[in-house]
Order: sequence, then C-alpha cells, then structure tokens
Amino acid sequence: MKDGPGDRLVAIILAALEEEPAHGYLIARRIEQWSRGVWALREGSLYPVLHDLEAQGLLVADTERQGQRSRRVYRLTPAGHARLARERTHWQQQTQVLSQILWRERTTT
Amino acid sequence: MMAATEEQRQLELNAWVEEATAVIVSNAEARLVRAQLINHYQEHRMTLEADGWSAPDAHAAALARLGSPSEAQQTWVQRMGLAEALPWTLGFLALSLQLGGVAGWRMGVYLSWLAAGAAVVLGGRRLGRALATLVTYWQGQWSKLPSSLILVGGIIGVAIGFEPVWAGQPIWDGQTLDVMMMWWKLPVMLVSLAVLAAVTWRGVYRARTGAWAASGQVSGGAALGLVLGSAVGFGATWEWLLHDVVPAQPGHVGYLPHWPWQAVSYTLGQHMVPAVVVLTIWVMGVATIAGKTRTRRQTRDLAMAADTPD
Repeated sequence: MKDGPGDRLVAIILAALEEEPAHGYLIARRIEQWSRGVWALREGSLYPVLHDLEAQGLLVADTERQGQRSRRVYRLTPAGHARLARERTHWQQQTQVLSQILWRERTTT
Repeated sequence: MMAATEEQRQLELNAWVEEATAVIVSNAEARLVRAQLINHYQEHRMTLEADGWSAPDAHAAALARLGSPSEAQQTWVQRMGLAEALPWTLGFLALSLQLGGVAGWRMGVYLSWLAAGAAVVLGGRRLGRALATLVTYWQGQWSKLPSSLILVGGIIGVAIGFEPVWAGQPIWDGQTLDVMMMWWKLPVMLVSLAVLAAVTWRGVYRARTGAWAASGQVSGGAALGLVLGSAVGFGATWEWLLHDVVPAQPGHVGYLPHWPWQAVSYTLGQHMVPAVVVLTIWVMGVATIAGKTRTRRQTRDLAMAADTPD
C-alpha cells in the first residue's frame, strides 16, 4: 500500500488543510509551527504527496496568481475530509495501544 | 561579483530542481512541479532575508530545507501508479520482441538499426528521464515484493527461458503448447484486455495531469521502446554474425546452436508477441482517452501555471 491508513505524512497534510486552503510553502510552515519545530519536513518531498493526494481526489488545487508568480492552492474535498476522519480514528487507536504498552503498570512476579 | 554569486545560487537551485523532478514522466507535470519548488524556495528565502539573514545563508537554509533531490525522486517513484509505468514496460516488451523475434533475426537487425537512428532523432533528454523512471519504478516495486513471489517469478522466468526446449513436448492431455495456445488465445486475451482496460482506466482517470494524456508521452514511450528494441537488435546482430541461426518454423523450434534456450520459438513469435503488441496498443489507447477525458479541465490550470518563468 503506498498510502493506506496510517501514512503519517498524509494525515498531517490533510489536517494542515482542514480549516483553510494553503499552498505548499504554507502547508510546510503550518506543520512546522504546529509541531513546534519537531517535525521539520524535507519539503521537496511534500509535492509528490500533494500531487498524489490530488490525483486520488482527496485534494483539489486552484491556481492563484500573485504578481509574476502563480501558485497552486490546495483544499480538501469531501473525500479528503472523510479520509482525515479515518486517519484520526486510526491514529487515536494507535496512540492508545502505544500508551498501554509503554506506560503499562508493571505486575510483580 | 555579487551578480556572479547570485547566478551561482540560481544554478545550484536549478540543478536541485532538475534532479528532484527527473523521474516525472509527464512534461506538463514536471514543469508545474519545478515552478512549485522554485516558488517554495523563493518564499522561504525571502522570509529569511526579511528576518535579517544574509543572501548566502538564506539560500543555503532554504535549499537545505527542501532536503536532498534523491529523496524527492524516491517519493515520486513511491507514489507513481502502475498506470504510468505499465505502458512504458509493455512498449519495451512489444517493440523489443517485435524487432528481435517476429521479424526474424535478419529483418530485426535492419529494423533495429533504423529504430536506433529514429530514437536518437526523436528522443533527446526525455529518453534518459523515461529510462530512469522505468528502472527506478521497477526497482521500487521489486523491493516491495515478498520473497515467495520473487521465487515463483524466477521459476516462471526460467521456465519461459527454456520454452524452446519444452515447447514441442506434450504438456497437458497429450497436447503441445502450440496446439493449446490456439484455443487458449482468445479467452485469455479477452480477459486480459478487459482487466487491463479497467485497471488502466481507473488509474489514469484519477490522475490529475494524466501523464499519458499528452500525445508527447505516447511518442516518448514509442521512442523508448525503439531504443530498447535497438539493444535487442544489437544482440541480433551479434548472433547473426557469430552463429548460424536456425529460424523458427511452424511445428519446429528455432534455435541458436550454442545457446538453444535463447532461441525464439514459433509459439513465442507467432502467438505471444502479437498479443503483447495488441495489449500495448490497447493500454495506450485506453490511457490516452481516459487521460484526455479527465484532464480537459485541468489543462487550463496547467497552461496558466506554465506561464510562470522557471
């Protein structure tokens, strides 16, 4: 599976676009800001994922002109919102299980 | 001095972007991504310079934040759909087998050298990219395969390689493969075509930029096939010059006296190769129509983005 449930970067990108559309640079800044600098993306690898999510119909892009430049502003589709909801459920389960394992109460033998 | 230094930075950026996008098959998509990456770099650099960073430091930081171009390439390949790689692969198989097999060794030699000349004229830089895409894609796919599948594939490969040895032998119900292929051919081809059409349509219809929507991609695939076919032609030339090749005939297996397992049998030449050619044409046709249907609206966006100087 190239990006089944549990693909961390997919979940993060979808979350970064949940409230309002953004172009690639802004998505990277949001992720950096929200993770307080812990997750600094290799930003050149952001675009393949964006294009793939767009091809899957999870995002749509509008071309926006700014002076001499034009840039692609991405927003979530209904399918993207649905996928984000599934990712949230998945990661919630994963973090719960991980917590149970890492912070389990040790039983005396 | 300053201008020269800034020019050097731009060259460094361009080299990074070119390498990072080298595996993207579609010209339109590659142009779009290059513009996006350059915009990304410029925005980051301007932000840093506004915060008081010097130009060299801001450049270095913005470039470092993009990561390495090979990482970006790998991400593209991981996200590449089979629909993008399949036509290239089938094109290679079809044309190389066509040139080396069906047309016979001697005709294969003439055709393949003509093809090599045509490929040099038509190909240019895109051929290198296409080849890199193909190789990297299948390397990635190979690494994903379970070892049992690789083992089975290897056994099948060896069996096919030795096909001329066993093609004339009864393999099931007293019949040889030549005879069985006569009645297997039609249903197998129909099922294959239906499955391929469905898979290709689904894959390409969903593709935003429709790598195979542009006619340039089809000609690029053909050119790639011609180049690789010419490699087979080189092999044909080698064998033609050094060995007395016995041609394949109905009911008999053609062979090279010293390497009989490399011969092209009548079965392979007359049944499988035309099937592969038909499949290739089918896949390319379906992919092209699906891509054009899906990307009619997006083409306008791409045209707008392409106006961005990159």
